[in-house]
Amino acid sequence: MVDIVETIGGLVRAELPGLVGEVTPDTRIADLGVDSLKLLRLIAKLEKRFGIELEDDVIFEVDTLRGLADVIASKLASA
Amino acid sequence: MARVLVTGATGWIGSLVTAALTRAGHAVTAIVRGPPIDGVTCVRGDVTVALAGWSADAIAAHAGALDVMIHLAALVRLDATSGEALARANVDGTRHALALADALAVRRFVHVSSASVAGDARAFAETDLDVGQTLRNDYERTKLRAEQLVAAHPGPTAILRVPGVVGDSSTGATRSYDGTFYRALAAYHFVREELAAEWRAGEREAMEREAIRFDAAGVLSLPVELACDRAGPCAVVPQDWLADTIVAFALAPAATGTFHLVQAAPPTIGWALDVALARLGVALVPPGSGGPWTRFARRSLERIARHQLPYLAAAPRLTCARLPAILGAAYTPCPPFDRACVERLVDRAVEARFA
Repeated sequence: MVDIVETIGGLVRAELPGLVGEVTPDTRIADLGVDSLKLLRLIAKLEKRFGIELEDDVIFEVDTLRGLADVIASKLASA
Repeated sequence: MARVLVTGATGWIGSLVTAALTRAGHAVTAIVRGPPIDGVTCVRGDVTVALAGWSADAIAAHAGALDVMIHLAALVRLDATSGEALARANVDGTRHALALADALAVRRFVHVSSASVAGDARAFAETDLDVGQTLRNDYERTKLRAEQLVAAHPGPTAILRVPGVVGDSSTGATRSYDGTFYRALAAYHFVREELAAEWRAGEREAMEREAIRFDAAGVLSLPVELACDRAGPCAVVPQDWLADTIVAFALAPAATGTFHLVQAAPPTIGWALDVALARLGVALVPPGSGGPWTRFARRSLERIARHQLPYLAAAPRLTCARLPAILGAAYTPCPPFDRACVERLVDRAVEARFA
């Protein structure tokens, strides 16, 4: 779980070099200032990294990085 | 010289109509909420309140001195959270505009409506209004209710139904990229940009496994597409022809009833999309094995064009039978929506980044 959060955080920082401040598990995705395409790009990279396929309706529901990590963790657990 | 009262004169189409009227030497009075417009008599007002907020003095000053009122004020929003604002602007706005026209004894009321009153109907005639079509959003519902108010109004009225509007027929320029035509193209354009960035940043092999690739000329092979009614009509008109035709109609003697301001023989959506995508550097290819980048592309296309999906999936055929006859010599056919025209529109849109 910690690994998943760290992977997401690393990807967020890599994708958003201009991001000011800390990225924590409780960072709200809306506060990252990413448009929906940048978010979908991040999702694609997470799907590739973890070898999973997330559901469309789940992607736009999660509001924090921890929430996203939870979704990925449950996907991995059920795989 | 005609004396014309205009609502929505600062809006996209309203500003073009107002400019065309003043260019032709007509006396324009505009109802404005904000700053006045050069060359136009402006009366402060707002169609969302009774009599558009005109005082008894303002009404007395203009009563009997206007030949025609062109009601262009409207709100266009396709999301599901704007119902109240749409009802105020489109339904109350039309009710108040009609009442003001009566109070001013305007001789004729021209209501600029939308082809979207057709809802999901596949064929829609100028004599059709409520034919049991399903209205898919609050915009469509409020535009239909506005038409019903105008149709039930005693006195000479006319309804002009307008399809999707695109930029100028000679330059391609426009101030609005919100229509279905532009949003669909914006979706492909921005997906191509995002994939290109990832392609260069090391995702090339992963993309190629999914049949997503850029060739040496930068053309993207894309194995996903927005669902669309390829054989359906690409019912768009250029903004300049639309404004000129609304003006010609408003000045035509005693033209009443409902009219469709559409191309007589529109090309298909499939043809227009093929031309536009070639210009954008996107080639649609058969579905590949799928994967994260394919899902990214599909989700992004559907996200950007989410409010336009129903309009792409089922395009109503609007017949245009009555306009040439009623306008006679004043009728100008819509300029051809040919390859050069589509490419100009795409080029201007890309320069403006669809905003």
